Order: sequence, then C-alpha cells, then structure tokens
Amino acid sequence: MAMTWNSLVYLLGMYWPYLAGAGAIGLVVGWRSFAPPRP
Amino acid sequence: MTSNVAHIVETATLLLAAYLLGCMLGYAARRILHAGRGTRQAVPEPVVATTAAPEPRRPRNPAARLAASVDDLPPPAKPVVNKPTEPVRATGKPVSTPAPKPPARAKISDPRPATLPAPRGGAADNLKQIKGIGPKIEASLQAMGIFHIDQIAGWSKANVDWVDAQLASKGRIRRERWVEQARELSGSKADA
Repeated sequence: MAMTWNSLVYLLGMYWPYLAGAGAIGLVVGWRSFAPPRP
Repeated sequence: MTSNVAHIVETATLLLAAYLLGCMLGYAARRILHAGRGTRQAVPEPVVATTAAPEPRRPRNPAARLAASVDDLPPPAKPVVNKPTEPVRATGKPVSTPAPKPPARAKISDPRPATLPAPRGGAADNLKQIKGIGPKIEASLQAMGIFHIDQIAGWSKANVDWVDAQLASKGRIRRERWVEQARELSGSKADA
C-alpha cells in the first residue's frame, strides 16, 4: 500500500499525460481564483 | 486485488498532487503578473497628452481650458458638450437632462460639476483609487477643482460629458465607470 520510489516512477512514466492534464486544469483554476486586491 | 487498489490510490494521489501544484502555480503566476502590471500602469497614462486635434483653439492645459470655457461660455454652455468627440450615447440624448445638481453651482443647464477651490481639510483624496485614473488625469482633475471621490460620485450625465470633453478622454469616463466606482468607493468609505 505504501508508495515506494519505484512505484512512483512507474506511475509517472505511465500516466504523465493525465498528470499534465490535471496540472493544467489546476493551473487554470488557480489563475482564475486570484482576485486582484482593491487599491 | 490489493495491489490493484493500491495502484489506483497511488494514481489518484498523484493526480491530486498535480492538480494542487497547478493551482498553486497558476495563483502565484497571476499574482506576480498582476503585481508587475500594477507598477507598470502607474507610469504611462498618455491619454491627456493626446488632446483633441479638431479644435486647435483650445488650450491643452485643463486648467487653462477651464478658465477659457468660463470666459467663453455664458450660462447655456452646451457647445462644449455637443463637441463630436465620439458617437457614444452623448449625442443621442439631449444634454440638458435634469440631474441631481450639486448645490455649489445652482445654474440649471450648467454641465460643469461642482468644483472646489482647494481640497476639503487640506488633503485631497487619492483619485487613482478609481481604475482608469492615473497620475496625469488625477492632476488634471485637481487642476479643475475636483479633489474628492464624492465629487465624482455626484456627477450627472451632463457633468460626465463636460469633464470628458475637458479631458479629451473620448468616453473613457463612461467606459471605465468612474462615477459608479466613485459611488462604491465613497459608500465603502462611509461604511468604514
């Protein structure tokens, strides 16, 4: 059950497109969640 | 079976981590960009400098223009408002819309907003709080006798047209909703 280094590398190699997609979605969400402060 | 579950859990954790990382990166990137833009915006503001070419007789300096308009235009003073700056909404409507006039200038059809000879209490408001007003426009407004946010909040349509013509800002006051912003700001100031 524990996440080992080997399994992490395997998952990164296997699912990197999905991880990149999740990162891109997060990027958009984070970008849009920033509300400029009122002067 | 258990390895399958572990695999799924690990993948989901990784996906979540990637999403959260993206969130943080996006937020930080926009924050940094916004901070940079804020400092850059304060410098240029070239709008006042690009004064209206169609009327070469008018002086560039808003204070001098104000003085000239006071000399030239007796009470009706509509020609200034009807100047063909831009076909926004100003030309479609009659200019002499009755508005909640500030008491300082009691003339009915006078499109000039109420001005002050000096800021109340000796300190002018920071007009740059209104988005769209930069240092140059703020200086021009102060030269006209507009020092406070609540003065802008009290502008009527005719006032807006008049100031727009004075600043040669081609409808910017409406586009950037200075009066609404000023009302919000003065409201929030009153609350505080």
